[in-house]
Amino acid sequence: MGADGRSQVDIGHLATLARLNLKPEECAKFQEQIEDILAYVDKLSQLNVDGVEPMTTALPMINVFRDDTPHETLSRDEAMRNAPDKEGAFFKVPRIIQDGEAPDDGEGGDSNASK
Amino acid sequence: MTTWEPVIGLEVHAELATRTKLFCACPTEFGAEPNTLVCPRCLGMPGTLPVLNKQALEFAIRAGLAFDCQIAEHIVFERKNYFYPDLSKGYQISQLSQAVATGGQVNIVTDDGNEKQIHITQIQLEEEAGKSIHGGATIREATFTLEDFNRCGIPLIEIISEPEMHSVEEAKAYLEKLKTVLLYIGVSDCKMEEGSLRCDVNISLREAGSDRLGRRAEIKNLNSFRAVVNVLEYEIQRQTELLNSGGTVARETRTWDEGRGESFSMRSKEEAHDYRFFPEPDLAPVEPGQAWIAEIKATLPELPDIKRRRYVEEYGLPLYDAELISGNREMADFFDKTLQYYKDPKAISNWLMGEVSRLNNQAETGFDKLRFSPQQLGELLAMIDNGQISTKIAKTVLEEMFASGTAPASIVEARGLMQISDQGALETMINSLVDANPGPAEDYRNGRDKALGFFVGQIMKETKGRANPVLVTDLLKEAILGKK
Ligand SMILES: [Zn+2]
Repeated sequence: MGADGRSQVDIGHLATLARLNLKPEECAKFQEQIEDILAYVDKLSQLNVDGVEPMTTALPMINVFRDDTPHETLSRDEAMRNAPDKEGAFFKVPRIIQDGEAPDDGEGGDSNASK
Repeated sequence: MTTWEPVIGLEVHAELATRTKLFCACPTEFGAEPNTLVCPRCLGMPGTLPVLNKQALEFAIRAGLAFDCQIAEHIVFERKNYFYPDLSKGYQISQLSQAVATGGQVNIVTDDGNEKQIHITQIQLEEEAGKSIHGGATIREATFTLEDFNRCGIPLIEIISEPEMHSVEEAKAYLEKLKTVLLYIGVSDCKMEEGSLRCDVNISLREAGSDRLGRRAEIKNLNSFRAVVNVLEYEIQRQTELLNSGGTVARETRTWDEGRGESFSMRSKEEAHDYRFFPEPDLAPVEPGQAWIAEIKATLPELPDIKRRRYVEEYGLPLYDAELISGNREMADFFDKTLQYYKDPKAISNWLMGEVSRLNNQAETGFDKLRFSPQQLGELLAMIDNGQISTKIAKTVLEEMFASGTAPASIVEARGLMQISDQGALETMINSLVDANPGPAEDYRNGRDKALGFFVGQIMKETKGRANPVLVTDLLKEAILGKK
């Protein structure tokens, strides 16, 4: 929280995380907008929440389950219809690593180099 | 020079053996044509919503119970945000502070034969990412990447250990026990070659005896026990050399190159780890309730630790036998069932660990696929005890049981293998043999015990191994020593 009661937002960092290329004037504009939003939401911290159980959802439900029964899948053609690029049976994406950059540690990550 | 002690923690990812994915109804089968087991949900198309697979949750709870964990009363999924092309939605649904299970432990037997507990921090339920194939020799040289989303969304549990292992052997024992238990309770097929079981390693060194933790390196996505062992041995040496030369270990993620047998720093950008977790708004929380948890608990099989103790305490098996048999569910089942027909546990254990395992290895098969039954093995062992066949003949009979599943008595009868225990017939044979070989007989009388072996061998040859060896030995001694 800054001296003026607004959150300090590092818009450059956020843009990098979201993979957005922002122009300097956009940075300034979004910085202000996001700080407005945070200041508004921050009103919640004025509430007295003594004795209120922490909650993670406003949904009035628990235990929404599915049975473990397979359903029909999309055909490959259908699945890949909107893909910007493909090769054979695969979605094709640009190279992942920029020069000098480390690979991100995606959860799967057991990347196989094609022979 | 300072003695350094490794401090090792492991995070094991095990794919669950459900029929469908965690949040959609796509099948989970392995080896299907790329991008055929997908739907709008697991492709991350806008507007789709996840619905939790109840079986996956049950498997996660089952694993938690098998490792003695506390099952959470209130379970929450979290959204872990990062961009990587194998992650269709741009985030992974995972868990953080309100995971399915916390606490608990894995019991290992260390090299010196002692039991040790390795504690589990938590077990969380999350979804798999897809599979990337890089267009180039390595990810760095790749000019493009191909994605297959068949695996994306398959449920997995991540089992996080406390950093309580202090040697490569302990880490290996932990992994083996973890895998054994997961196979016992049927929640994962644990096929490392198919990627069903993978492991992240954390390792640091500290001064022996100190309880201060050093800075740790993390090595991700190892897909064989051998790779884990190699990484640990490599890192222990690398970090020891660093520390001994006055350097410091960087806290970093490293990548393992199995081909070169080296780990490399992944020069991580700080932002790459800003996952901005928040509670998954598209999923309702879960409250499994004591009744359901008790129901799941009641279906757990007898677990390997309990079996091992039972084998030692009730049957008097050596710890080695008990550990080996209880470590393989199919073998243990066969052992338990054979005991219903035959009462000598050590004899059964010897045969299962010896001859039967040998035949299994030769035929590259397992105890669940044996053609003969536990009852038939019991019958075979009883025939040895009754003097109907010798141990040597029993091995021949077992081979035929293994190949055909024929009952031992039928094999013995059909092939005329019944042991000769007819004293009169054996005596005639022995007397003429001793008469024909005065030299060896004299040797034996002069105290050369080995000379007796010559006579036993001759009788066995003559009877094609069917003579009762105990009786033959007795009669031989009598025949030779009696003729002074
Ligand atoms: Zn799907």
